[in-house]
This record gives sequence, C-alpha cells and structure tokens, in this order.
Amino acid sequence: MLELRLVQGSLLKKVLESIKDLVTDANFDCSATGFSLQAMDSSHVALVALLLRSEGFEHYRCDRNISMGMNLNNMSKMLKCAGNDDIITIKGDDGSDTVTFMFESPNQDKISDFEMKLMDIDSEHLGIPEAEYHAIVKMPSSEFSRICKDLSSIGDTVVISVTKEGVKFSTRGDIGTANIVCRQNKTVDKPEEATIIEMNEPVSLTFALRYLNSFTKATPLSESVTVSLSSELPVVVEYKIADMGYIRYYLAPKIEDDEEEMKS
Amino acid sequence: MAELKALEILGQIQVLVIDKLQVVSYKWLSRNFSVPSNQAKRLLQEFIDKHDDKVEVLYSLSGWLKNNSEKYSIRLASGQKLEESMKEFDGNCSVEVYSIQSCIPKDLAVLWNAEFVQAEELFNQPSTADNCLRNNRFGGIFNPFVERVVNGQLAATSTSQLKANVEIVQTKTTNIPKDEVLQPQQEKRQLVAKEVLKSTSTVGSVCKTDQTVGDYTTKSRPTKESTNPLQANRRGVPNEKTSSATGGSLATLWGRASVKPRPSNMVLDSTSNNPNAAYTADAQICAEEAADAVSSDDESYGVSRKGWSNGSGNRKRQFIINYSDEEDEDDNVVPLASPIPPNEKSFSDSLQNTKKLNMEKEIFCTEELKAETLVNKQDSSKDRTYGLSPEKCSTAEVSLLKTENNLQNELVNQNVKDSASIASKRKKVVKTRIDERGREVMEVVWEEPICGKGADKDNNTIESENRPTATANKEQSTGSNILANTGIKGGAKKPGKVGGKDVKQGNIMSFFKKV
Repeated sequence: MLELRLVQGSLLKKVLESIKDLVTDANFDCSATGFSLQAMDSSHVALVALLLRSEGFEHYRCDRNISMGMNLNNMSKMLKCAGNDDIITIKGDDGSDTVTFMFESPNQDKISDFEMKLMDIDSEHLGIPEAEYHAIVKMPSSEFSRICKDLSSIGDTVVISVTKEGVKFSTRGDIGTANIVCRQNKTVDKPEEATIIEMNEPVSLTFALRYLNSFTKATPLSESVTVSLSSELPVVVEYKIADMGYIRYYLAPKIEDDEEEMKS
Repeated sequence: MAELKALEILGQIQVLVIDKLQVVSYKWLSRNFSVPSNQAKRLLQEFIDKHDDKVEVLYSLSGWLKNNSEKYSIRLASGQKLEESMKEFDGNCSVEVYSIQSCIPKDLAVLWNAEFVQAEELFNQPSTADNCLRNNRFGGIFNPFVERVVNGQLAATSTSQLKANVEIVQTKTTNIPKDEVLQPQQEKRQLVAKEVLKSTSTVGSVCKTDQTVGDYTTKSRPTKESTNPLQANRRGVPNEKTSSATGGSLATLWGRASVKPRPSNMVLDSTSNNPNAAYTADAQICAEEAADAVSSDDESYGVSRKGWSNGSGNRKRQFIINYSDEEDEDDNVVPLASPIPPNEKSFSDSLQNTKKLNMEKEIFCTEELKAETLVNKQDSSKDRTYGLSPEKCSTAEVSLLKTENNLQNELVNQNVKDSASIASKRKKVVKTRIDERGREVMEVVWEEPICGKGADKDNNTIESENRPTATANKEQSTGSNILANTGIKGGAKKPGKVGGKDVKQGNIMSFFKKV
C-alpha cells in the first residue's frame, strides 16, 4: 500500500518536466525514507537522481519498498491534467500493475483520478559514491541555464574551468568561440542570487552541452544550482528542491584527445 | 571625383573588353556603372581614342535615309563600314558609339547579351526596388507621353486589343518576358522563323510612342494570331497561363523566360542573388535557332536546344534531339549540364560567343542590325520594352515591318542568306570528356570548320578549359557545402546530436558501479 500526498502538486509536474527529456522510462522507488528515482539516459552518458524525502509530503505512507516502472512521457501527460495548485496524491496497491494519480483542486470542489499502467523496467541502479569534489560552484540556476543555452548556439561542447578567478564556460563552433566567466559574488540581496565558488584545486572539464541543456529543464525547481567538478569524476549538477530533496544530474565528461581543440 | 570615376570605369572597360572579351555597349555601361547614357557614350569614345587598335567599334547611326526619306532610321555600323553607311543617309546623320568589343561577333545576339542579362537582372529585382531600368534615370531621351508604371499595367493596350480574339494568348502574353515570345516562336520555327529572326533582332526596340504602338498593333494583329495561338495550343501550357493570370507581381511573371510551365514559386528563387544568366544563352541560342530554322526549312531532322528554364532553382539546361517532325516530345530530353553560377556562366558564354566571331565582315552587314538597333538607341523606349508584353513587342516589331516594309524585307532576305551560310558552316557537337577532377563533363559546342582570327583558336581552348571549371566550381561549391555540413555533423556537433554516444564522450558506467 502506497499513498503519497503532495500539497504542492506543481512540484511533481516540474520534476517530471525536468526528467522526461533525458529519460523515457524509469523506476520510481518508494521507501520509508522517500520517493526516489535513478535513471540513465539511453546513451549512458548522463544519470539523473531524484529524491523527494518523505518529510516533504503532507502524508506519506509506504508499507514496503516498492519500485514502480513508469513511462515518464505518459506520466507527464497525466500530471499535466493537474492544475498547478492541485494537491496530488499518488496511490498504489501491492501487487497492482497500475498507479493512480489523484488531483484535488485547492478548494476541494474537483477531484480527478488518473490511473496509469506500470511497466517492468530493468533498472541498472548505480551506486554513487560520496566524493570530494575539486570545485563546487553555486550559482543562480537561471544564469546557468542561460549560459548553457547561449553556448549551445555556438558550439556543442563546453569547457567548464574553475580557477581562482572564477568559473569559465567556453565553447567553440563553426562561427567562432565564446567564453563566459562568472566571478564569485556574494554581495547580493538574496542568497539564491549569489555565485559561490569553492575550489580546492583548479579543474577543467569538457561536456556536451546537449546534456547540460537537458539538465537545465530543472531550473524552475530551484533558484540556484550547484555544479560540482572533479577531474576524475562526472560533473554533478544539483538542483535542490525546497524542503524535500534534490534532483541531481551526473554527466560523464568528454575524454579529451591530446590535441583536443576545445582545450583553452 | 567625376574624373576619377571615369578613369576607374575606363580601366574596367579595358578589363571587360580586352581580357574578358565582353561586348560593352553604352547601355550596359550606363547601367552597370550608374552613369548617364550620354556619358557612357563619351566614355566609350574616350576608350576608343586610347585603344584604337585593340577594339572594334560599332557605331549607331541615325537619320533619314536617302532612299526612304520618310522614315527615321537608326542602324549600326562597324568601324570599317561606317563611311559607307553614312553615305546612305540623307544629309547629316548622328554617329555615336554603340558598343566596343574585341572583335565583331559573328552572332548578332552577342551584341546585346550582356545588356539583356543585365536588364533581366534589374527586372527580377523585387518590384519595390526602383532601379535604373524601371525609372530610366540614365536614359538620354524622355518622352512626356510615356508614363512608366512598374506594376504591370503597361501592356494594357495590347491586351485589350487582343482580348476579343484570343483570350488565351492575351492572358498569356500580358506579362511574359520577351524571351518567352522568342522561345515559343522558335518552337514553331518552320513557320515563324522569319518572325523569330526579326523579333530576336528587334528585342529591345519599340516604337517611339505608345500611340504608334497602339495603332500598329491593331493592324498587325492578324500576323500575330497566326503564330501565337497556334503555339499556345501546341504547347498546352495551361499552368503557365493560369499562373500568369493570377500572379500579381510583375517580377513574378517576368521571371519566367522558360517556355515550360514553371511553378510560380520559382520566382522567389529568381529574385535571389543568382540571377538568370541562362538568359545569355537563351538569347543567343534563340538567334542561333532562328538561323538554324531558316536554313533548315526543308529538313525534318534537326538538332535543337531548348528548354532553358531560368530561375536559379530550376536552372537546368536540357538538350533535346529531335529526330522527327514532332518537336514537342519531351521523351528525348537529356539533362545536359548542371547550372553554372551566373558569373562564370556569362563569362564562359561570352567566351563561347567570341568563339563564334567571324571574320567575314560582310555577314555582319549593317543592314542586318537595323531592326535591332532601330530604337535601341533610345534609352527610354528600350526601358519601356521590358515593361511591354511580348505581344506588344512583337507587334511593335511588326509595326516596324509596316513602317519599314521594304527595309524589313530586305533584312529578312539578308538574314536568311546569312544565317544559312552560318548554319552551313557550324555543327553542334556534344562532347563528353573526363576532366581533371575525374568528373564527366558534357558540353555542347558549335564546331566551326572555319576559324576566324587566331584568337578564335585561343578562344576555343579557353572555352574548353573554362567551361568545366565553371561547372566544376559549382560542384566544388556544393561539395564544400557537403563538407561543411559533414564538418558540422562530424566535427563540432559530433558529441551529442548524432546519437549521443561519441568516442570521446565518457560513459557514466565507467564511473559508477552497478549495485
């Protein structure tokens, strides 16, 4: 028996929007601690990890760990039927091959039920070790999104280099090159608008902008984004979901050839 | 400033005439360098003074003839024939430079090729563009009775006159470029070969005022109907007709020199910066065809080229070999060559043209050019020509026939003779060879057993070198496009877009282990 009641229904909608571009089918894992998802994109280059802790739900009941395979597009279709202010309840029965989404309008005058078929998905659950990152950049998510979008119009890959001067995003394309440097900036009105760079050692990594642009679909979930870089590890792009958890994207860097042109 | 400009233009003329072997007429010059036509003439004269030995000059003479004092006539004369021609005029006649060229072309069409292409380009500019062709700002002659309207109302007179008789023809011809008239006629060349010759040579000429055009149109209508309706029916071009009837913009309709029905959206292409250099060929071939036709009156077997479509999208040259009397079968159509970029094309064309230069000056009799140049001299009228329907053009031409009946007849006879002699000397030959890049190049060339000047041979070789490179350049450019595309795909865009997995792209699985 599973029953998760989320007052902030729009949050679930946003979560779906931020995942479905990257992953088509995924298993949602429910446990006593929370509602989570881990999935790789089809090319096994990126990984998305979602956690919505049980404390964030108004009502959270999960009798036993359960994994529900869902087609994210179909789920998104159903969630789109929910209003932004609706309260969403996810219900599942043990042994059932369906999941039910219930949408309640804020003033309780409309209640919708959507039952979606589940699917069997072979999940390749990866263990993600805790790691010390060489550099951690926290910046406004909209800024990061803008940078990725802008650069992708010029090149296909971005080199993210963190030095003590700041974080530099550079790309090169047929039409030319682009470099965007963001400096640390803590003197802002709201802490979300700050750009904070924690650097243990300089790091420079190359990534495919296509994936980063998929990650930025999570921008509505959080005002700030944290990019953690280590030379031997995939980058982690994390959007915190207020009071509930996070959505983390992992992206394997591009392994540069000797004469890698993007090196700058 | 003006002197500087003049010097610069003179330098350009030298390049064009001596190096590129182009015919430079004052009209072309005036439009190309945006100088008034009278100044263009002066510039040409200046150039001649400096380079007397290197260029051949064509003069345009105008005045009243001795033997026909009622008609004001304008004719072209080469430098050698100038004196002789002047004697034919009664009293004083005005002599002005018409064009300069490295040698007098054997093929008359060459004379106005450059002009024609230029005029077409100007015409294909969007109707909003007020270019020098439309407003005739460089013309030396202005006619207060002629109102220049750019939006297609020009042909109203001829249209209304023909309406009663041939509706199809009338709609068809309201806005079709003169080229179109030439080509259809050429299809019917057995019947109207003479017409073709005349209209070919009278292209760009028109009666001096609207008034006269109108008058003569009425009179000459019977002649037209004997040709045009027939040809319209033969061709069966309903598409073309409807499109010309519905298409609003004049540029739309004038973009189509091709006889073949062409979707009107091609016009969009023709306004692009690839102007229809095919016209050059068209114009010339028309004349050639006419010559052919006249000479091969009794032959039921001939080789003809036709079906040049113009728009850049549709620019395909076709080669048709007719073995029967039925001329309109498309079964034998062989795509001959990929379109050549306009510049190179016109260049190669001009080379090809110069190849046909003929030393026999008598063929290039001034008489022959008469019709062509009758009103060529008048910029204003000439400009109007492009605004006229072909019908009107040809009626204008027929009106010329009327006014100068004797002369025209004379001219036609001469043309018949001349072109016969030309045609008998030439052969069209399709040559296929492998060029240095390993591509198969097919060219159709006029092979002349008699070579004119020594330059003739040079031109031959130049041409054979030049043509393939022209096509090759094109191919190269498309090739480089492909390269560029693959470059984008394979190079910079390689990482994600192709399928996600890239050699250089790391795999997340190599960082995290399965649980």
